[in-house]
Amino acid sequence: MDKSKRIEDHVLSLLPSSQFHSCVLTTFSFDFNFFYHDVRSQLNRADIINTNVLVDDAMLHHYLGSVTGYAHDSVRRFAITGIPSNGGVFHPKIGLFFGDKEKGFMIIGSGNLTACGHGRNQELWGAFHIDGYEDTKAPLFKSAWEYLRGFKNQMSGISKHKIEWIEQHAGWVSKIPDTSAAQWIPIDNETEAQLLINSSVGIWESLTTALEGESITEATVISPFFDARGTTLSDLCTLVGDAEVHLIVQKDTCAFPDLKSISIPPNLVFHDWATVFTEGMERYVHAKLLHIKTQNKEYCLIGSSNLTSAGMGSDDKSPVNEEASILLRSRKDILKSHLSIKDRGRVILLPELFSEVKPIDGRFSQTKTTLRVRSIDRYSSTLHIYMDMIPEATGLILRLFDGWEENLGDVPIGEAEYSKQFGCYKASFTVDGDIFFAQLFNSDEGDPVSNKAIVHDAKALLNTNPDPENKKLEKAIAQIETGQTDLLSLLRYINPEDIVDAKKKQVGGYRSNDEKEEKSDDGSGMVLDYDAFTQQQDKSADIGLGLYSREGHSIDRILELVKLLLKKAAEQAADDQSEDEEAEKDNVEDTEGREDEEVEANIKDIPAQKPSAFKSNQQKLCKFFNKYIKTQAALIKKKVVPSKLDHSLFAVVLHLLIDFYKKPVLVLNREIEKMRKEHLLGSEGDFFGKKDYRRFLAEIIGQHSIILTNVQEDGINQYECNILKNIKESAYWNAICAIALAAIEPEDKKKPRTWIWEMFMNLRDNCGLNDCAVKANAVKHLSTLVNIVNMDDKDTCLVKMVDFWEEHERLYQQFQQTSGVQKGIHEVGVHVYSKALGFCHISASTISGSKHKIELARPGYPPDTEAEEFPRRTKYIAEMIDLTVL
Amino acid sequence: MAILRNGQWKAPFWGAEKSFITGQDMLGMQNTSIATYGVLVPGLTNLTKRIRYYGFYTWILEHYAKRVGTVSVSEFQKFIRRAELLLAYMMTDQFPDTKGVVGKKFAGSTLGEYLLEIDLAKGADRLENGALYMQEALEILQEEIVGELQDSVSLEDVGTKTFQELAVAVHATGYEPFEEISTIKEEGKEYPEKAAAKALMGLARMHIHIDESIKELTEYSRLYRMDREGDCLSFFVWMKKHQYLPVGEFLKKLLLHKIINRHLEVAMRKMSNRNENTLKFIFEDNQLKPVSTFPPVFTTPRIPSLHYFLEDTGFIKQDSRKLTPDGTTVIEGGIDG
Repeated sequence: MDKSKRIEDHVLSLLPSSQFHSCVLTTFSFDFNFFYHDVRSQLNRADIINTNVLVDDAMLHHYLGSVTGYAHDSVRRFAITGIPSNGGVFHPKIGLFFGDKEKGFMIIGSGNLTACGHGRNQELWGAFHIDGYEDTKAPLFKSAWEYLRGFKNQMSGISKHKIEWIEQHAGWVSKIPDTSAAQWIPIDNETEAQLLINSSVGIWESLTTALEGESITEATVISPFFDARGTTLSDLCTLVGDAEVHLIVQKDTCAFPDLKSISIPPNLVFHDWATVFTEGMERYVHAKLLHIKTQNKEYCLIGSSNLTSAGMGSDDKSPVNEEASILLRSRKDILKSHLSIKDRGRVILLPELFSEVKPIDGRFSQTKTTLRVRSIDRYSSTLHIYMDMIPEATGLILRLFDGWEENLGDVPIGEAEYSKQFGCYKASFTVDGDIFFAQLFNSDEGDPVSNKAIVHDAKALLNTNPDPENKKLEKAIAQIETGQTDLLSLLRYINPEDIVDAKKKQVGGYRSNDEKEEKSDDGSGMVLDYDAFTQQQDKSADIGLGLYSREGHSIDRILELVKLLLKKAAEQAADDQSEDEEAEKDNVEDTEGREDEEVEANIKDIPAQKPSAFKSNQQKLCKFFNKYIKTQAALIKKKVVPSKLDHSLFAVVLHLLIDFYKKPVLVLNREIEKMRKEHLLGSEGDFFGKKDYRRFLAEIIGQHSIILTNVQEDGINQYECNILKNIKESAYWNAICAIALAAIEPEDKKKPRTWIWEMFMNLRDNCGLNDCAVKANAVKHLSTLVNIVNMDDKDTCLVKMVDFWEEHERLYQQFQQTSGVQKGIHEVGVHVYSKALGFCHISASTISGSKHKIELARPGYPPDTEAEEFPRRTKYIAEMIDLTVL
Repeated sequence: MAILRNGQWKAPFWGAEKSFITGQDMLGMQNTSIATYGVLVPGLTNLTKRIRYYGFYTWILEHYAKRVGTVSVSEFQKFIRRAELLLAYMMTDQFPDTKGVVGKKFAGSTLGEYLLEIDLAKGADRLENGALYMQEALEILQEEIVGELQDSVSLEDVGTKTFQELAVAVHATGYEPFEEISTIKEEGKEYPEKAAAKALMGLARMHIHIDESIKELTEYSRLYRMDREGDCLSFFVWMKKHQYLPVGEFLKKLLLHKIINRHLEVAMRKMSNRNENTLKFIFEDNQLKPVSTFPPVFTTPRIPSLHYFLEDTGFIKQDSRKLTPDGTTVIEGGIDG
């Protein structure tokens, strides 16, 4: 059979882009790495932000800790829930995709969410786009949704809420007419379909009902698994009467019953898969197909169920698995032609086929535990452990693990409070490291007594709410993450003024001490977890959708993104280098044109913009930085206590400064009709130029180091402290990198060295970090940041940045050893340290009457362009002020 | 119909295959080598193994400019390739033992055919379909120094010991892991347990050897941008963290963390970035299914180039690879000496 005639597709590639916001995917096997790297990009393309994966619970239990070492990111944005199946397995492979404009999409088939299920195995699929609730296929979609929604009862916490969001944001689904069981749903003029699941009626029984009254002429079966006695197969052979059942078998992989224990029905004919499909068919056959031909119709059953009594039942056995299949019926012989199995290959003898067959049973046994943890959500340093209340919980501990199954710490359940309202224990914990999953043990040294459950970060998942406003930001983030657009598109989501504008404030936003107290009085300023918040909605209706749909400020989410971009930039740099060298190895003597190609490739990578767009983008960027500077000035004026959000925003702004500094853009020069390389954010070494990198740098870092002189919060618990410390650390090293970039490119304008020194020293003095003097830390952070720096020679750039840091850190350490206040008259330009201003210099000296007055200046105070200084407009009497001359 | 929209549907259809390619670097470790030799032996390439080529190309370019001068990329390529092949014929004829000559293999195999007249075009020019005649196989020079296996330490003996105790014991024997690499590769085909034992002993020896330098090396590698996620230094840190596990546990964790998880992660990342499926084994339905095998390979191809360069410049002896008097002078007087 010619393979090219087969209809083949990557099932997820059939999804149209930009039509959906949510999806539910079900699977038996699951591959975290594949999901994160492959499926996620397909979901991003379709704009899906609310993703829910339902996995067989026993399989999930065994994956956790064994193949999840690198999987932490895959659970950060997706809810992955284990579904137990009483006596059987959770086996359906359905994907439902929901949009808000009456668009839906359904995939159903045999492939698991693994690299094999989506690209390696031989799998069979069906895919259906639903165009509105009046689409004739829509009832099929609704039936599948009703089936999956039924599992909501086995879910709790944020995973359950994510399913509820679908109900809220895809209300059109409820308008789809209901259908009765066994009702054929027309999907076009010639074809009808039924969704078959194991409910009160099993798939086998539904199938036989559908075939009632039909005169079967032929049946074709593909199934990698059969039950031990071949019961369902035997029943099928009986059902077809005198017709033949053609069984297509892949040698060595098909788990066929022991031939000694069954009698082969006379109408069963075996075919070798390798002779039915001749090209490239060595891939493992995991597809399940039952094709039945009658006098004037054909029926085709595809989906998750094998031809086993556990999967679909039999004449006298009820199925035990959760399965989903679709039964198609056509008046013409077209379904089978899609499969290209007209020629069934040669008929082969049984011994030849099965002599070497070693049945494969991929199932993990159900874990025998006494307690079931439905799910665990983490809200900062509190865990919500959803499970039934235990009468005697003393001694019971919840052990927290990372993806490698390293024990991160224990939480005593006996000390946790049980909330009957939410059906969960609430327990505080303090551990370092990324918690991936948890399991109950009967004591410190005791045995496990529950299943393993993924610990979802509820705050991160709350940001996957498909609310339209939230979706815009998430879409922008996804596009940036996948390289479809750059950070410029993020600027519209970062409004520094929000931080000082109390009316626009969101959770986690800036509050002065006074305001905090005011808010606490009426309770509306409290940060609630999702469950608690949804209970409060009526009282807090005026808070609006913003709080409901997002947890935390968008800045937090953007900071998360820029950190991810740093990681990706490092990976990309490594991969690029690797690809170059591998290319060399493959083409040893292919040397021609290498230089030319590289130059062209370099230009090709640079985005091109029209002059008007370039100008507009440049303005947008400058406006953003100026707005941030204005905001910081307001914070200085109010003498605010910098919040976590202030540090986050500072880190993001610095990242943007580094990312955009000298970022090349090709702009059409109309005069010479050629593209010219320009920079959105350049520098001429001018600390007072309105669009100059150095001016933004001096003001932003200078101001922030002033803000840092106010007393700082540490966070309310260890977890918060760690988060704050990480953010401060990111912000600090971003700032050092940004200063170093200005420092390592020598220019002679004005007083760059003085200001750079002042920026570094003030930031260093006020950063509040303990380990920023360690060279290993400097190298670690700067070597990561150098990957986003727009310099051709990044190696040299890094060495210079580290040298810069080392020199200035040494100066700071020297200052720490310096003692002695030197009152008196000092010359203009002298570097000094004063308690009032930090590290600065004397910018002016005047004699007024009998008094000698001086002015001090440093970046952070409003620039005086004419004087070419950053002066503090206060005149000090030289003899009175305490200064340390440096 | 690549995408379904406006109520379109498709059923039944087969899932398309994602092509499996013979990907290299299945554990993502080669990046480390590349980054390291990029810093330690900069400017070299495994393409040009002989320093004479640098002179040859500048000479031939000047010659082209003076004598030919045709402004045509294809003509220029043809000229250069013919010149390379001519040099290969000359070297093959006059210095048959000299390695690292571009096109030598082709020249060697066809020299006999051209006793009277050599057709350079036939050997050097591109075919219309873009295929190439001349393709030199990489002849990586690797001296096989086979040491004697230290039978005093084996997996059986250390069943109850921790990895750290094993490491101390192996260290005491003076076991040299690098001498065993080629043995492990060959032995692994027939006696995988023996090969595994040797590999483990090698790790144990390296663990002790490098233990005190990890911090310093990490800082150095970061400063010179040699560090890579999953590199050997992070592996040594991992060994240090788990050194007190019993050897069996250690081995189990090692396979799970550093082979199975690592490979799946690297392969999936490559699949995502380049749409290539480089899986060497598959994990599905509670089973690891092999796709293809991957023997250990030497990942520093610039080292042979370095050897040849030093030979050509007269700083090391061709046969023994020991320093010549000139080489000694350079070493003693520094690079400028």
